[in-house]
Formats: sequence, C-alpha cells, structure tokens
Amino acid sequence: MASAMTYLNGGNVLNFVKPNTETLSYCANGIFITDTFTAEIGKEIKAGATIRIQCDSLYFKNATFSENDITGEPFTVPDPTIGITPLGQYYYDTDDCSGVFTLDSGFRPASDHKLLIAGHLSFDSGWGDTFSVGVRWLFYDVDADSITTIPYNYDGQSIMNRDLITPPPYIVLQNIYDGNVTQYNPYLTQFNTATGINILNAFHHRALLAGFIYGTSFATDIPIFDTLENATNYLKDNAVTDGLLNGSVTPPDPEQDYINDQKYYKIKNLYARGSGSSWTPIKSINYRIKPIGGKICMYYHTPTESEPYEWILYNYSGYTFYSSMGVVYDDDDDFSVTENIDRYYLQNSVKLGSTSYRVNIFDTDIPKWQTKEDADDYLNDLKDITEALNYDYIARTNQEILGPDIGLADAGNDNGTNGMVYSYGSRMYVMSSSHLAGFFADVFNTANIDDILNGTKLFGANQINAISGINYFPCAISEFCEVSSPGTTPHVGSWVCPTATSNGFITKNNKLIDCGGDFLKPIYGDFRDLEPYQQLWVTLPFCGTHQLQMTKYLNKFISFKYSIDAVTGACSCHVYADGIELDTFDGVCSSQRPITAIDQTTYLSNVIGSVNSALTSGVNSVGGGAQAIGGALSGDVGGVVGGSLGMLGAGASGVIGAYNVMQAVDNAPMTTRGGSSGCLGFFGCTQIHLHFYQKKTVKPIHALMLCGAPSNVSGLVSSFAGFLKCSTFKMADGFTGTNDELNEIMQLMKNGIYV
Amino acid sequence: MELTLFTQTKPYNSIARNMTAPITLNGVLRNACDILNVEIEIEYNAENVNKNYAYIPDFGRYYYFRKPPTIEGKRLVLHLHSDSLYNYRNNIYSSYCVAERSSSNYDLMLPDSVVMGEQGYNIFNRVLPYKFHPEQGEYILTIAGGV
Repeated sequence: MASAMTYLNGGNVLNFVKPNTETLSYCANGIFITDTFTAEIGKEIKAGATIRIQCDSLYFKNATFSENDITGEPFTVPDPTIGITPLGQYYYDTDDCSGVFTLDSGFRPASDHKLLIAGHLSFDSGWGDTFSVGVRWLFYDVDADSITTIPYNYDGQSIMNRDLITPPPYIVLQNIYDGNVTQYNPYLTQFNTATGINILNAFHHRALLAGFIYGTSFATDIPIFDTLENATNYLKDNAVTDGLLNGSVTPPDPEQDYINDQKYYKIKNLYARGSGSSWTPIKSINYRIKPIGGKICMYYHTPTESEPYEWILYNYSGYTFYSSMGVVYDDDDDFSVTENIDRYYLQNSVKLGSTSYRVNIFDTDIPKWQTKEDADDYLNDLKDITEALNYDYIARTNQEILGPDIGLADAGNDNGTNGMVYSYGSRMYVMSSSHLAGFFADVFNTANIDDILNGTKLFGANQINAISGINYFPCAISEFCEVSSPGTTPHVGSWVCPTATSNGFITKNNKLIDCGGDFLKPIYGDFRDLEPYQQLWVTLPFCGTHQLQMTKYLNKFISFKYSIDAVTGACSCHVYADGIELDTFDGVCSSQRPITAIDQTTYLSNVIGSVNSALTSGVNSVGGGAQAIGGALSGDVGGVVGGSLGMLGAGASGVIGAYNVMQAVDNAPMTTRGGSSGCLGFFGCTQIHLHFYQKKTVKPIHALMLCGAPSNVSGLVSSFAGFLKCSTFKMADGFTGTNDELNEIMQLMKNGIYV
Repeated sequence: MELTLFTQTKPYNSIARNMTAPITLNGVLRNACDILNVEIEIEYNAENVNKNYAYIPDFGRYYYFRKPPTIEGKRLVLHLHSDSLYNYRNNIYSSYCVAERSSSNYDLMLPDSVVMGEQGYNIFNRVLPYKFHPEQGEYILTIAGGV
C-alpha cells in the first residue's frame, strides 16, 4: 500500500473503481478523496497525467485502491473540452458515474492532506442560477499582514459571490459557498471586501456537507492550495507555491496590473456623455477603466430611434444592477471618480477637418453584449464571457488566444476622407419632395421665363443645363455629407428662385455611414465552422449579395460602413473584421430624376449610351465611384447609368417638355441608374443581412469516445487517453520483446487502441 | 509449468486489463511451440474452462486465449497468444507517437471523416440594425451657378 506521499507520473494512469461509499454524508459533492492508493505510482503528478473515475457514487472517502482496481476500459467522455483548458479541468459524469480527466497542469497531494478534485455543482437553485461548493476564499491584507476569510452574510454562510469576481484573467469561479450550505439563493447574497484587501489569489478548499448529486465540472486558474498554511504563504509571497494543487502561477503582468496590482480594462479614445448631455472626450488615448466592485460589461444601446447606437457601461453591485457606473477613470495616474451618472460611449475615431465623428465600434476588453438582457445574464453569471461580442479581443488581451506576433498590432483601419469642398459654381442643394416641387413650380412658372433665360445666358440655347441633376438618396443626406444650415435660396445661374427654399446645401461629401456589425461566433467549434461546411454571404443594400470568406471573419466582430458619392450616387460598402477592412463592395444607391423632355427613342438611346459611358469612360470623372458603377452594372439587369450631367445634357430640349416628363416620372418612378442599383435598389434589402449556409452534417455522438477525433499531435503515448490511433509510433528504448511482438504492437497502434 | 488463469473483461485493443478470480495451477507444454503462441495442457474442470486470460511466470508474459480451449478427455488444452499490448505497456506508455486520431488530444479544426455530410444546408440569417429608408429619402439638386 503506497503512502499518501506517492506521486503519479505524467505518464501513468491512476484509476479509481467502485470506491467505498459509506461516507457519503461526510464528503463534499463532487469530491473524491484518496488517503491511500496503489498503482504504478511513485512520482509527482504532472501535466498529462490521466485519472479515471469509475464508481457508484462520487461520494466516498478513505477509499483503498489496489492494482486490481485499475481499469482501462473505454470511458465515457463527459465533455469534449477535456484537456484543452489552460489549467486544470476536472470532470465526472453522473450518468454512469465514470469519467476521465487529463491534467493540463500537475498537482501534488500533500502528505497530510487529501487529494481533492471537483467542487462545482450544477444545481438549479430555483433562481435560475448555479453555484459552486468546496472551496473557500482567503484574503491577505498586505498592510495588516494577516489572513482573513470572507465575512458571513445574514444566513450565516460564508459566501464568495459574483461581486467578488475579479476581472479577467481571474474571472472563472462563481458563487462559491463554504460551510454547511442549506440555503441557496445567490440572488440574495452579497458581501463586500474590506478596504485594502488583496482578493486576487488564493482560496482554500473545505469539504462540505451537502445532499445533492449533480453533474459537475470545475475549472479555475485561481491557485488552489492544500492547506491554509500554504495558501497563507503564497499570499504573502507569490513566489512560494508549495501545496499548489492546480498548476503554476503566472507572474502578474505589469501592463494589466496597472496600479496597486488592480486589473484595468482598456478602452481607447472614447467619447462619453451623460444621459441627455453632450458628448465629451473623456480621455485621449489608452483609456483605462477599473470597476470599483463587481463585474463590468457594455451593451448595445440606442436612446431613441433617431439616435445612433451607442454603448452603455453596465455593472452589478450587490443587489442591484446599475447602469450608473462606479468606475474609476484614469489616464495619467490622475484619478477622477464618477458615480451615479449614466454614461454612454462611442469612440472618437473619424476626424474630418476640425470635426470628429464618433463611431460605436471600438476595442475594449470590457465584455460587450448585444442587448441589455444579455448584459443582465452575463452579470448574473448566466452567460459566459466567451459569448461576449468582443470575446476575441478579450481573449487576445488576456493571451488566451495567441495570434501572430508580427509587427505592430493593427488597431483598425483609418479610413481616408474626402476634403473636396462644394462651393460656388456648382451648388448641391438638399431638398425634400415639397422643396423640390416648390423649386420647379418657380422654374416652370411662365412668369419667370424671361428672368430664367436672362439668368442662364451662359448656357446658350440650353439654359436648362444649368440644372445639372436631381438625385434621390435613400437616407438623410447629412448621414454622408456635411450640409449647411437650411434656408438657402436656390440659384439657377444668376437667377434667384423667388419663393423656394432648400434644406441646405452640401459643403463636403466626407462621412461614412456606420451600419454596425455582429460578432461571428463559431457554431460547432470545429472544422465545420469554415468553408466548405459553412458559408457566409452578405446581402448589402445597393451592392448586391456576396460571399465572404468565413475564415476572415469567424471569431471576429464583422462590421460595415458605407461611403456614398453625392454626385453620382456610387456607394462602397466597407467590410471590417475587428476594425480592419478586409472587403469592399460597390454599387449605386441613388436614383436620378430626369427633368428634360425626351421622346422614347432618344431616351432609350441615352440609356444605352449612358451604360456604355459608365462602363468605359463616362464616369471616370468620379474616380473610385466610376468603378463602383461599373461593378454594379456588371450584373444581370441592364439600365441607365451615366454621369448626371451627361444624361441631362444630351436630352435637354425645353422647359415645358421637361415638366411633362417630370410629371410622368413622379407618377411612375423609374430609374435613371442601372440594374439593381438606383431606383430598383430601393425595392431590395434596405438592411445588411448576413446569411449563414451550414452544410447539414451527421456526427456520431459517441465518436470521440469510440474513435477519437483528428489529432496530428505528437507526444508520449501516456499523454493520451481514450482512443489512440497512431500515424507514427516509435517504440522506446528498452523494449525486450521479440520482433514479432514489436510488429504486432506497431500494427495495433496504427489500427487504434484504447489507452 | 506454473501458470495463473484469470477472468479478464477488457477488450484486447485496450492497454489496460481487468483481471479477476485468479487460479494458479500447473500445466504441461504441448508439442513444440514458441513463447508467443503456447499450447498448454491443464486439468479440466468447469472453473478452468471459463477463464480467458493467463500468466506464465517462466515466460514472464501474459496471454490471451486466441481460440477456445479444447477438451481432450480430462485434459484442457489452452491455445494462448502473447498479449503484447499489456506485456509491454510500460514501454508503450513511454514511447513517442504521432496521433492520427485521439479521444483526448485532438484538433477540432482538422477535417474529420467521421462527420458525414447530408444533403442540403441549414440557413440562418442575421440582420444588422442600420436601415436605409428609400421611402423617406432626400434629394440632391445640383445646379450650375448656384451661390
């Protein structure tokens, strides 16, 4: 019988089979304990060790194991995530009370202590929550040089509740109970830490009295120690990790532990405002937020339908969820505390001249959620942080996902801007339908004819050419242009329209329309999330339907912005992955109203001519926009395209005729732009749609247990568990068998065995 | 020759064995044989005939029954084959390999032939919040000479 000091090698397998269950009532849920065990042991338990459990119940204590108890039968894999967690992760399966876990990090049972594994109950408290048992938090007061346990709440229980959860990377445990838990009501429990207590790094397990049997899984990167003494020593000096049960302790990251070893969230370059107040730049760069207590997150919020989406910070403190934040802002070590103010956030990311435009896409490691309900669920621990919209960024921030470390981090695209000023000589008035009607009522008023002709002498016999174009856009012009104050009276040549007024005129065509985005989470978490098993298509208003490469956008926040050319109506949809532009699609989003009299033959001629013009050189004058139009027209629908000046100029023949045609257009709208763009585009999608085509697949539910999954991982055979089929196998030195036996083993390894 | 018979319940393509109810007895090698494929005569009885695993100390090897024992009068002939996996389990555990498939160390992003495709696709759609409003758009009137 080996003593409790024996250790299990990473290459060995320790099995527990049908243990003594008589001490059911004295042991914690989900905890099994060994005082003695025998196997081929004798060394330290290291990463890669596999422990199998097979028992009638997981409630046992002081069980004795002998070699005959060792079993190597195919096991039930309770969870497909075995072995891929950063630190230890432990499982059992209540269905048949068997399970296996492979230690990603080693641990070492102390001589006077029991090996403890597990401790998380999946228990429905009736309040829709789950909680954990079997661990106890300790806190080290650095100043007082003393260890304290958490205080007791009203029902006499020591509770480690959610509001003590520190930000990532420690955001693992939830609702930790200690003691004789007889009442489960995580919504009514709270507890606050004393000032100055370091709550980061230790907790101590204690077996509990409890009467429930539930499936369990438990994982944490919070150091767990076998004894109070070792936990205390660790808290006093992080270099002392004797008795550490669940892996190594990573030294603090000075970047993350910014001040006083506290974790800060990162947001860059935010603008914020209080409820109803104006936007204020909070900090310029590298903005950091530290929650005073509790979890913190953001959710997508729009105050009114007319206002753009923005983000609201949200946290939980004790009993209540607050959108008014208790946060500490810090930029240059100069703290300013803001509390009880609703704060909404956008990022100041687009600067045009002296004007900044705020967008709602920015990087932060504060978890972002689509809705307030999602944020509530997250703060209630009903949603995992991995479901957050920006989890990819959070994970990268915390180095859970290692990306390529090449060059400087790309913080996202900085789109260019159009500095061209639209001023005298060619004025672009923004008009509503009624304004437009008023304008043409003046133009076509026979009483004004002489004045008009006199004011448009520069245009010779084609005075109507002074009216260069009428384009209708499917959104407010101010969304993509800077527009002057309304009330400017339109001029035609030097003729002043006597009665009509416009809404204003365009001064610059320099804005991007932010259409928002979505985080694309994996569906299966395996190869089926990518092509050809899953395809991502987008239907973009006025730009058609296109396939995107799933690889570029999976696990990223895909977002869209439109740029629109006010002259031609050409538009480009920019597609971003985590703020980096990866795709662009072009189209035309405006519809042009003809204003001159054109007979049908001339009209059709212009149509064809305009199409040719657009596809060749006719729209080169609009630069990038010309390509946009050409691209849009390459579709299956023909139509009229052309620079507005060209179309109008070619067909101009008279004022009265133009009026008649205009009336006809009003009654039966038609496009003067081509294909699926222009007016026809108005009948298409007006919102961006993401389409996910997932190939229907069948995966046997027991496949992982029976035949494993593709691996291509190399290592010692002992580092594998369950089914193992080798593509290459090299027998270690020291093999004393015959060549026939070696060949037989090689054949078995290549056919697959159960380890 | 001494040998021990067991009841063994684990499949032979598993490294581990679950040996119970051992019986140690004497047997006699039959004919010429090699140590990997042994034929050995033991005394017949109802208990012996239901065993399926053996250990021969002289050969230092465990054996499984490659075919059912044959009964010859009061003698039972065991047809044994060396259990290479179990005999050399420690060598195997300490050997390196490249896993083609594994239940524990796997890469879910590698295509898996076990997953079979059905006809057709599941189609899901999401709509982003921003919306163009062609029913309530605005005009741009471009005029040469405007002031």
